[in-house]
Amino acid sequence: MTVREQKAAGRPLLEVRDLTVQFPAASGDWTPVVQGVSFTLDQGESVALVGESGSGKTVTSLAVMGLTGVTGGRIAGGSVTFDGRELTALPEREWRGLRGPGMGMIFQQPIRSLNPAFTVGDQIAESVRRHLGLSRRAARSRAVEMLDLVQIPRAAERVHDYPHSFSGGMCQRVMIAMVMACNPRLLIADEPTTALDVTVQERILHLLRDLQEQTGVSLLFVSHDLAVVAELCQRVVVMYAGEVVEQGTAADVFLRPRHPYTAGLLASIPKPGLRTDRRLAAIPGSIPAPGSWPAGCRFHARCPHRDPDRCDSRHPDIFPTGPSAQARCLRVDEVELQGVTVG
Amino acid sequence: MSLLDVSAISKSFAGRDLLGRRTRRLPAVHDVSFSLEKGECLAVVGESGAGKSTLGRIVLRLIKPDAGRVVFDGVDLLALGSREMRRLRQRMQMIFQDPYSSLDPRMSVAEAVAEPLLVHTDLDRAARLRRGAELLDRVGIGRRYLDRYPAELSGGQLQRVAIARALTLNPSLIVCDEPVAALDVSVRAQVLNLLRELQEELGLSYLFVSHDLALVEVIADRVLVMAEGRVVEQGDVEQIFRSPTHEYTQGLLSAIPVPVPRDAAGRRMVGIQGAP
Repeated sequence: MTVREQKAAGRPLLEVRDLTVQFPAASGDWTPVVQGVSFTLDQGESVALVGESGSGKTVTSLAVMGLTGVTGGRIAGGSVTFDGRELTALPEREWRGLRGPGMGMIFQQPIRSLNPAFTVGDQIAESVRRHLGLSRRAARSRAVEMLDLVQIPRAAERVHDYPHSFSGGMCQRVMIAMVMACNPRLLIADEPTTALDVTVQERILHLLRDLQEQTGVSLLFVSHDLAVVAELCQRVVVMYAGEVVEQGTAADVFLRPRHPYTAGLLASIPKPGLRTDRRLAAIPGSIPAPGSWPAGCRFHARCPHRDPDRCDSRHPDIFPTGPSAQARCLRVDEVELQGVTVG
Repeated sequence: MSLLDVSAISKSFAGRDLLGRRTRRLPAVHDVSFSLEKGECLAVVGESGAGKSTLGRIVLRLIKPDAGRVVFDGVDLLALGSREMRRLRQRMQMIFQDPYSSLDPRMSVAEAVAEPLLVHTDLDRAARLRRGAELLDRVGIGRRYLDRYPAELSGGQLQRVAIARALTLNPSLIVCDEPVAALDVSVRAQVLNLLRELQEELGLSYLFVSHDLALVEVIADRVLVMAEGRVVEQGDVEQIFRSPTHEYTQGLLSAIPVPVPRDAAGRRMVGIQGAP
């Protein structure tokens, strides 16, 4: 065990505590988009940040990467610590040393994240030369090694190809290779398979699982799709309207959900072989936008278990519901919710 | 007689290299035949590049095939002149994947839905807007949204507007090209249920192009599986899901993510009822 690993043993790799992020509204006022978000991620763990557009999941992950400012927002409160180091006030110069060998991020549109004018080999090599200070020749062989690691056939030839000659799934592999080339301790993947075919998605999820086994990299997986999350993640953090509404182990969240929103999301996923009356269980209405969050529970208008006397006026705290589980619902002990239908 | 009869359709596109020089022709759809009955939903599934969107566009004659016949309600579409085609097109509509780009950003919601009536009917403006408002109400877009612009609506709301617009001319056939792929999971279920309700109410036929087999099982009566431009399998939805015969179909089915977490050894914690 290295010193660093020993030091890390007692504490999580990533700790987000009471994080609030604001963006300017059309009126110019700063509006909270993420509010009071707390969760942790242990070394080697894979944690999912789940939510719909407007839930604040991407804003949260960008705050972890130190990209709040460049995307136009500001961190208005709370803290993000990575390996014990506070990141919210870190100067940009120090961020450069952290992104790359500390953490890397892949996005939904891999083809847009790659530069069309350079070969994929050049782009991977540039990343490791810059972050790890490798020589030109070492960087070149690292690029081949990485394409091989992400299971791109004929890696030694394909390093000379330009992004346009790769399919969507292959481009995502190249992105993963580029990020993994710096040996990061945390990989943040923001909807990495949403733009891909189901079959390609399956292969990318397999690849991420293999990479975790081989390298021990921790994973923060951002997604709106609980079915995809189940394939990969040990713990799940569910976000709604800027805050965490439920979190727990995958077994907690999928089999014994305690928040009506989570139960609703689970029910709305079509399950193969379970075709019933040709309707899906939908959650009515839509997620409120930042700046128009209602008083009381932010989910109350869409909730089948709403008690107007309480839910419309009292904003619930997040309650512990198990050894490692929490839910933000005033009626958490009163309602029976169903998890994934099991046989 | 079927509403739509497609026989032996083939289409290839001219390939181009980086400098725009012609290369060999790339086949997109090869020898595809199927029929669609009134009130039926036929799903066309396959991976990107399988030719399923091209097939949808050929059916509406937005693309002319190199060979084959498309017969809609007894009329050979490929033999029609452009004026006749335009008249017939009122009865065939399309809904696209990305509602952000399929609606004109400078047109209010009410205008967008009423616009097809301006092109195809003699109704005056008040009557057009009245009909548009009725349809918007039917798809769950309330009156307070009538004067809003697409940028002010969510993805799910925009797709509802696109559906209302497709319904203005009382079509018999709607080609739905990945209509819910760009939507969030909870909204996806709402829009899919709406499409299903409208189909039952109005007796619509859908050609439902999708790469998501889990959704297809809910909405489709029959399924056509395409790979590399060819039909590899077609049949009733139950047959395709219970006993797919082609290896490619089996691969597509087994790739559907299932919302059941895995234990440390990678095994599913519980089996799903009825799942294969």
